[in-house]
Amino acid sequence: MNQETARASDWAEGLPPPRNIDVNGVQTRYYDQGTGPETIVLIYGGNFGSADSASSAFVWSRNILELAKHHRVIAFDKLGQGHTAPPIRNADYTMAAVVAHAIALIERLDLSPFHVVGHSRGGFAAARIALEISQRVRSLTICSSGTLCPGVGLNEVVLAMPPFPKGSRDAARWAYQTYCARPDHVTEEWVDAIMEVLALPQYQVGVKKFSDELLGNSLFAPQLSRMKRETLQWIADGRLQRPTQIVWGANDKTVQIERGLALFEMIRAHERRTTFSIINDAGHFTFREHPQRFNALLHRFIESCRSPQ
Amino acid sequence: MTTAQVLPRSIASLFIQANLPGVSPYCAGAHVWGDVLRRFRSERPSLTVDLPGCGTGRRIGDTLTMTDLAAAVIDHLDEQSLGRVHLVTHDLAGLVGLLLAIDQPERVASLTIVSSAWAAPSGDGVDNLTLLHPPEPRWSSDSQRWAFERLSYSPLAIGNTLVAAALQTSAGAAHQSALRWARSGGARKFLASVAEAKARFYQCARGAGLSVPIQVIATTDDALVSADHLLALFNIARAGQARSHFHIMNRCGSLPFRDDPETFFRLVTSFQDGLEQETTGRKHDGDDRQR
Repeated sequence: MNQETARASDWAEGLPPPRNIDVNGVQTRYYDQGTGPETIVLIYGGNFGSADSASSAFVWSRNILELAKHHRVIAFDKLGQGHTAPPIRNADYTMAAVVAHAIALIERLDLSPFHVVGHSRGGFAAARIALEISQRVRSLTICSSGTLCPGVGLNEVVLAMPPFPKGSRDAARWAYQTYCARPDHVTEEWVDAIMEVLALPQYQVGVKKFSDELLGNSLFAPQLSRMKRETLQWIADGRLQRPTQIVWGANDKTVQIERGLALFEMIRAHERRTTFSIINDAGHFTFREHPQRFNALLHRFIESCRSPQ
Repeated sequence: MTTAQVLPRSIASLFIQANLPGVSPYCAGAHVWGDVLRRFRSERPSLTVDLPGCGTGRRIGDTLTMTDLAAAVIDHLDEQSLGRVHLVTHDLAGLVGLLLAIDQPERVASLTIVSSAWAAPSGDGVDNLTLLHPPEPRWSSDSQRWAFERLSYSPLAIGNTLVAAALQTSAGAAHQSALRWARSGGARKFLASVAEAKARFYQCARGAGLSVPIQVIATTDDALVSADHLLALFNIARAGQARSHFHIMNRCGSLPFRDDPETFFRLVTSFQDGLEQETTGRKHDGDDRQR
């Protein structure tokens, strides 16, 4: 294959200084960079309680500073993920609580109408935000979200039985290399960020809740299943009424293209301004694997949503 | 040949719109792009070229092949002293773009193929009947409007300006030469060169692959080529070219740049912007670029 495109390690990582804010009693870390006039809210994937793939807002480290040249960019650590505190109550180890926390943060920051971008599980949260507080949302971008789209997810298949000790650096690297189109798409800086989060005592609270108290299987998964059914019904009913851009990686082993196309068909039936885009040589993390082209795609989409349609 | 405003910055985009001249029931050429060109020209050098038999292109002689069409583009680039361009191609021009990407990759910064049944694999080869019975007299104003409206998602995308330009083109030397060429059986021979061009692309794709970045734009309501066919084209091209994108535009027909110019503009420009930023934005500028 012609791979004149650079390796992922060729692109600089960079984040602005983090900030902290109390959101209904949950200490929440976030980044806020750029002045707008448009505001973008970035929501990453994963969920609390994961022992090997600890996501955080670091995953946007190839996007925030570039996008902030034109827009105000907010990227935050979700409830119980990254450097944000875990849920206060066991009952909040749910996707509904994650979405409620995100909406509370948006209200706390008093954001003007914004463009929401969500990846993977974050794509589901982004869609819920577009549905639940549509009056504050200008557009929606969904990246490789198996959680949101119909069909059968293959994460458990692709990531089954890591060949390294649970929680180890090698296991984390292996998981993300499996997610990506090519192993060199995973940088050591990225693995550093994952290991930093895994080492946080407050993150380990969630891991224990999932492993020892079995909240993952007994609470999180069934609640998410019900919420997904409701969300897809809302989309089928035509409640999603904002310009929507769907971006997929051609080489995503966990969420294949057909599922993204099925989601596109559902949304486009009711929303004219819907597009579906595939980026080649990209797995589950299009925005990290080919940041220049992803950033350009997102920037142009935001710009088009500003102008009269 | 037609040309247009050239801004002194960035790599120019060259827009090519073409169909089977003298046969297709509307006159192809730069006029078909419409107002979207103004949008591109507001921020980047954007040119057009008409292929032989189309628009204000050259007359067609006794014979015409896909290779001739590709050569006409190179001639134009030479005449305009243009080194490399981003090619944006529609319909038959999509296959011309593939030939250029194979044979003259140093002249092509990127290739965008829009709604091109010619470039896509034919599959089962079922006849497309969309433009089977144009009203007579053919290439009249009403007949061409009929064709454009059948190709677009919305008739609102087809204005009097487009129809008038197509009517004017039908009286021009290029179209008149195309009519003579088609009546003398030239089109049948031309189709053999189309098959050869497609075969060359498939051979390239399964071998070394295209060295030129490529994106394919499909639509949900294209009467001439399905999104499935164009996804197949993308999958063939992407096997050998890492820098490739595929898009589907909603509620657009065969002329998406007219049905939804703003979305078309953003998809084309974001690809070109991203590629240009990739060449300048590396952390370790220098050695890596030589890999």
